[in-house]
This record gives sequence, structure tokens and C-alpha cells, in this order.
Amino acid sequence: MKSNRNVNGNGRRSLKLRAVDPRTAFFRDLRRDLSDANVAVLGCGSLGSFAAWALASAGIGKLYLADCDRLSHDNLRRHACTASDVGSGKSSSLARALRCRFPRLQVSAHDYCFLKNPDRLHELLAESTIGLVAIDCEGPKYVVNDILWYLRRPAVFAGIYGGGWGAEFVLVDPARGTACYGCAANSLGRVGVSLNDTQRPPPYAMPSGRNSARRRAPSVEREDERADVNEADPQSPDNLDHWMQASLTSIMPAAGLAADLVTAWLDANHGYQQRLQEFMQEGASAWRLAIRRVPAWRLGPWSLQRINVDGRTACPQRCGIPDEVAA
Amino acid sequence: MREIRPELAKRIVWEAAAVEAKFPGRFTLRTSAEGNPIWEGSVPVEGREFPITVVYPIGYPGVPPSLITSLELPLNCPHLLARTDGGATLCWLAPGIGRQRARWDPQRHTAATAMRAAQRWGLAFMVWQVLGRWPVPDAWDWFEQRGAAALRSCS
Repeated sequence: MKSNRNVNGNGRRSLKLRAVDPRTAFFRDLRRDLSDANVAVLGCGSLGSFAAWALASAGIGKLYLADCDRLSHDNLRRHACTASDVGSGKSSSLARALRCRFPRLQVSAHDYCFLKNPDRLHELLAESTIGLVAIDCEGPKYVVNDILWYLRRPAVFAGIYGGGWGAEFVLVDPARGTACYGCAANSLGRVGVSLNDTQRPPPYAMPSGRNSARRRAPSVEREDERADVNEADPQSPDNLDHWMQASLTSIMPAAGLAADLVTAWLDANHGYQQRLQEFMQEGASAWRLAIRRVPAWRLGPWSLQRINVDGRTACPQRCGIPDEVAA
Repeated sequence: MREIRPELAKRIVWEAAAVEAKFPGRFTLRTSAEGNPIWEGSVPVEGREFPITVVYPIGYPGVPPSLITSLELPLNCPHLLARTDGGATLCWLAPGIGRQRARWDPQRHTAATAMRAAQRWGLAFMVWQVLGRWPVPDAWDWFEQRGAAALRSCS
């Protein structure tokens, strides 16, 4: 804390404590200023909360935090908020936490369901420079996808698999001609939307204490790979606990990588292309981070793979011919 | 009346080609009293016309469209989600289905997909009326896999 000594009317000196943004010293090292960037963080769960923290730490000027869920005790093990926030909305709790840490950060909380309020989502994304989508169900992502393509706005979609064995990231940037989220999801093997997402979370949702269904890494594809699997076989009883108990050792790297993708894009937007070019070598717009050994990905532990996603010719975002017409 | 989101309007324009290709001249695009875009028309089922309204929900395409029929259905008719004055809402997607291929896929599926599912539902309804049992657990998926041959095996 810095003190500012003022002389009051009686001639006495008084100490006026003024909060200083801890990022101030960091800003002096930056060669570019990200304080003019507005980032919308959609989904303030485990991944979103730490990614928002990382973005604030990187010098983002304004954050819009959006989530319809409330913080529960189960979340505390792997969330940036604290026990005093249990029962409150995740977006507002996270906004409070970030304001305490970064007094000069502009942050607003948006507590609503994306599927029921797509108009508000449209307005939010229209005000943002870039989005970070950390939602743990597929349906809203397709709504976000449509809005991004209409607005020609970029976003990073990030998801960590329950169990924490791996994470996937997709950069959607209509201006750069990347594939849309739908095409990327299909390429990554995620097809369709389960109607009961709340009852049967997709495999990349974090398991909660109430609903800790098994989360398994993709199984081996060939017999000759089984020898490599045993050591980290998610289906082995010896390792099951490891796979089910995702911890911060997997969440924080994934959140960091998601935030890094966002700041790399912002750097490129300011004319500093190098970081984004490193990510997008060979035309990659999606990435897999294997935190454990993932046999089906032939990756890991601690490996990052670039994936080149080709947009489908029938993609609705590119006004391709629908499959039903072509069939 | 609520305005249609511009990105939804863009998507509906894209889907119109599929609707016209699969059911030429059968459906008209309108707006419901609540402000939702709808396709109104009918699908042919065994030589009969099955009236159908495809309703785009607020969260479309993250949520699949609803199918509503104005046809008078028996009180004990299965595979209905709701009954209102405006008609009955058909159950055309099995909730919580695990098989990805059988899920609603916003990248591939359109209102025409729902209209085809309405045809299958209508056919399953006719079988139910005759045999007293619904021929498929999920009209969508079962006919996709086996088609008419399986239907004959039910009788």
C-alpha cells in the first residue's frame, strides 16, 4: 500500500491509504497495452474463474463475467472464489474476488442463462473485443458460435475433461477464416447436443460431488497400444481415483493456456503477431493439451498438439449447402 | 412482439433451402404469437396429411426445435411432451440419449430434420393405433437405422 500524506486543516499530517493496482509494475514491462481490451468470459466455473484471473493479471482492462450457476461447496476445491461466496452467483462472486485483487480492473457480472437470453448474450459479445468460452455444455456454445459469426468477433473455446486428463481449445476467428466452433467440435469428435446436459454432463465437464460419473480418457484404438496404457489406464482400478479427481494441477495449466491464447490474439490485434503465429503454425486453430498420457490422442503427459480444422462445406456459418439438400 | 435475432434470421435463411428441398411447397415461414419463428404446414404420412408446426425456441440452435401438431390425438397417446389449446407437442428426440449420432446436431440438422422426424412419428402413431404398442423407443433413431424392414417385423 502506498501512503499519501496530506496536511489537514489543523496542520496535522494524515495518512491516506490508497489501493494500488498490483499490475502497475507489470504494466511498465509491457511493450503493448491491453487495458483497452474488453474480454467476455462466458462460464465462471473452474476453468473460467482461473482464466479470468489470468486475464486480469495480464493487464486486460475490462472483463465481462457471465454465468447462470451458483457457487456450491463442491466447487471450492477447484475455484478462484472462497467459502464466503457459496450460494452466490459465480459471476458476481468472481467479479468481487477480482476487484479485491485488482482494484482498477473494470469487471461486470452477468447472471443469466445463455439459452434463455441470447439477446443479452448478443449485446455482451458485441461490446467485447474477444470472448473466452468456458461453458461446460454444448448447447450454449452453438448459440455463441452463431453470434460470433454474425458479429465477426473472435473467441477461444476451452474445455477440460472431467478427471483432468486433458483439455481442448478452439480459436474461432471469422476474420482470419478459421473454422467455426461446430466444425471444430465435429473434428474433435464432439457431435451433437445432449438434451439433458444437466443430468448427464458431457465428458469434458468437471465431475461434482453430487454427480461424479466416471470420466474416462478415450480408450485405446489398437491392441498393440495396450502395453502403453497400463501405467495410466483410466479404466484400471488402481488409477481410477487419479482420473476422477481433477485438481488444480490440470485446471490451472488449462486456464493459463486459454488466457494465453486470448492475450496472443490481442497482441496480434495490436500488431505483435509472433505469439499467435506460434500457436497457429501450419494453420492450426485447435489444440489438445494432454496432461496425462492419452492413448487415443497418442499424446502426453504434458504435451500440446496443434490441430488443423477444416470447415465443412455444409457449414451453416459459411452458408454452405445443408446436408439435407445435398442428400 | 420480440424481434428475431439477426443471427437466427441468418440461420433460418440457410435452413429454408433444406425445407424447400425436402418438402417443396408444403411449409410457410411465419411468426408465432410469442414472436418465435415457425414453419407451418403438413407432412405426408402413408397418403395422409399430418399437420405440423415447427417452432424455433429462444435458444436455437443450442436447443432443438419443437414439433406441434393440431391433429386430435387420443388422450392415452404416448410420446407427447405436452398438450395445450394450440395442439400437442411431440416427443421426437430421446432425452439424455448417449449415442452422439442420435443427438440433435446444430451443424447438420435443420427444421427439415424435425419435419422428417414428424413423418416418422406419424407413422409410429399409426402403428400404435393398430397394434397398441409404440414400435420404436425413439422414432428418430430406430427408423434411421432400420427403416421400413423393421417396421414390417413389428406386425
